[in-house]
Amino acid sequence: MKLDWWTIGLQTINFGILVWLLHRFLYKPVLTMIDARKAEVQRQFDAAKEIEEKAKAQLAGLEADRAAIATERDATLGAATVEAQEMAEAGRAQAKRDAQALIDGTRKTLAEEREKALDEARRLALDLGADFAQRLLSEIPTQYRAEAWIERIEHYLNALSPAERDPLVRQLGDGTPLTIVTACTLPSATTEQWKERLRRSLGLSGGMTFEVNPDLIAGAELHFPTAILRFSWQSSLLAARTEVSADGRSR
Amino acid sequence: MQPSPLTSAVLFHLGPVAITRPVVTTWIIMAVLALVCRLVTRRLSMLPDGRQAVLEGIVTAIMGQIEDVVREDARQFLSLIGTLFIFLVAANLSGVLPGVEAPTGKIETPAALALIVFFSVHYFGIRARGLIGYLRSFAEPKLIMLPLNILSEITRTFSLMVRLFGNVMSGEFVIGLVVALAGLFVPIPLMALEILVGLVQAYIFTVLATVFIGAAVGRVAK
Repeated sequence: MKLDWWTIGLQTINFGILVWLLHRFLYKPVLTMIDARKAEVQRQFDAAKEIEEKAKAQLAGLEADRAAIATERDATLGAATVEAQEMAEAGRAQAKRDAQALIDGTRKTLAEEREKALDEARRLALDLGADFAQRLLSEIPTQYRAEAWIERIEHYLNALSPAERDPLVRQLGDGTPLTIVTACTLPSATTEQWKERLRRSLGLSGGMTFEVNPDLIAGAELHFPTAILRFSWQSSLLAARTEVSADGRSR
Repeated sequence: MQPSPLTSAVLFHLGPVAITRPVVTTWIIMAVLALVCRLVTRRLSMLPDGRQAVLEGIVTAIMGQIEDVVREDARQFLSLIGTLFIFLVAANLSGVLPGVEAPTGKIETPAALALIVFFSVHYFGIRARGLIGYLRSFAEPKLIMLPLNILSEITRTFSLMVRLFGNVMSGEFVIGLVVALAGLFVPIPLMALEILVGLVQAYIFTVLATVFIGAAVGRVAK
C-alpha cells in the first residue's frame, strides 16, 4: 500500500476549509443566537425577579397596612365598647333616675289624691253630720233650741271686757238697729225674751231686727254695722272644716 | 493489472496534483454541509423552528460532550472538534450512497485527519501551558516516561488513523463482497450495520481527539 501525499495534503486543506466554512455558517450564527437567547432569558428573568421583588415589597406593604387596619379596628372596637358601656351606664342611671322620679311623682300624686279624698271624706262627713244634726234639731221645738243659744250668746257677751264690748256698742249709737239672724223663725215670746237679754248684756237702748237664714243650721248671728258675732253651727262647721283642712295640709 | 482497492483512484490532474476520488467526494461533502448550514442559519430566530432546533441541538450536544471531557470552555475547541465529528459522520455515511466511496475508506483521509489532530493537540497544549510547560509534561510523572510518552504520541495518532480507516474500509469490503456473491438486497442489514459503525467510529475518533486535546491542556490525565 502506498500513501498519496497529495491527497493527504489536499484533505488536510479541505478539512481546514471546512472548519472555516462551518465556523462561518454554523457555529458563529448558532452560538450568537444561543447567546442572544440566553441574554433575553436572563433579561426576562431579571425583569421577573424585579417584578417579584416589587410584588414582595407591595405584599409586605399590604401586610403592614392590614396589620395597621387590624390594630385600628381593635382600637376602634375597644373605644366603641367603652363608649357603649358608658352610654349603657348613663342610660341605666338616667332610667333609674326617671323611674325614681316617676315613682316619687306617682307617690306624691297618690298622696295628694289621698289627701284630697280624705278632705272630701271629711267634708262629706261634716256635711253628713250637719245634715243629721239639722234633721235631729228640726224635731226639737224652736223655743228650746233658742234658749240654748241665747244663753251661750249672753254668756259670751258678759265675758267680753269693756274694751271689747264698747266698740261694738258704739257702732249702734246712731240708731242703727242690731240685726239678729237666726236659723229658724223664733216665736214672738222668744223674740222679746232675746231682745231683753241682749239689751241687758250689751247695755243697748236701740232697736233690734230679726232675720232668718236656714243655712245657719242652728244658732244665731249678731250683725253689727262693721262686725258679725257668729254663734251658729254653720260657723262651727266652717271652723271645723278649716281645722280639718289645716290639719290635712300639715300632714 | 487490477489496481489495489486500498489505493485512491485518480480522477484528473491539476498540473502535477492528482485529484483522487476521496478529494472530490470531500469537496462535495463540504459543499453540501456548507450549503445546508448556510440555508438553515440564514434566518435564525429566537423561537427556533424544527431545522434550527436540530442544528442548535447538534451544536449544544457537541459542546456538552467537549465540556464533559475537557472541563473548560468548549467554544475554543468547538470549530475543530465539531467539524471533525460532523465531517466524519457525513464521510462515513456517504459510503452507503450508491456509487459513492467514503473518503474515510481510503488511508489518506484518516491520515490527514490524524495529522490534524496530532498538530492540534500540540497547538492547544502549548497555548495552554506554554512551550516549556508543555514539553515538561512529557517527562511526567517521571523522567523515565519521556520516551514512552513521545512514542505514545505517535502511536496513538497512528492508531487513530488505522482504526477509522480499518473499520470503514472493512465495512465497504464486506458489503461489496456480499453484493458480488449474494445479490442486490442481501447486504441491506450489513449496510445498516455499516451506518451504525460509521456513527460509532465518528464518535470514537472525535472523543479520542477531545481526550488528547484535554490531556494536552492539562485537564485530562494522560
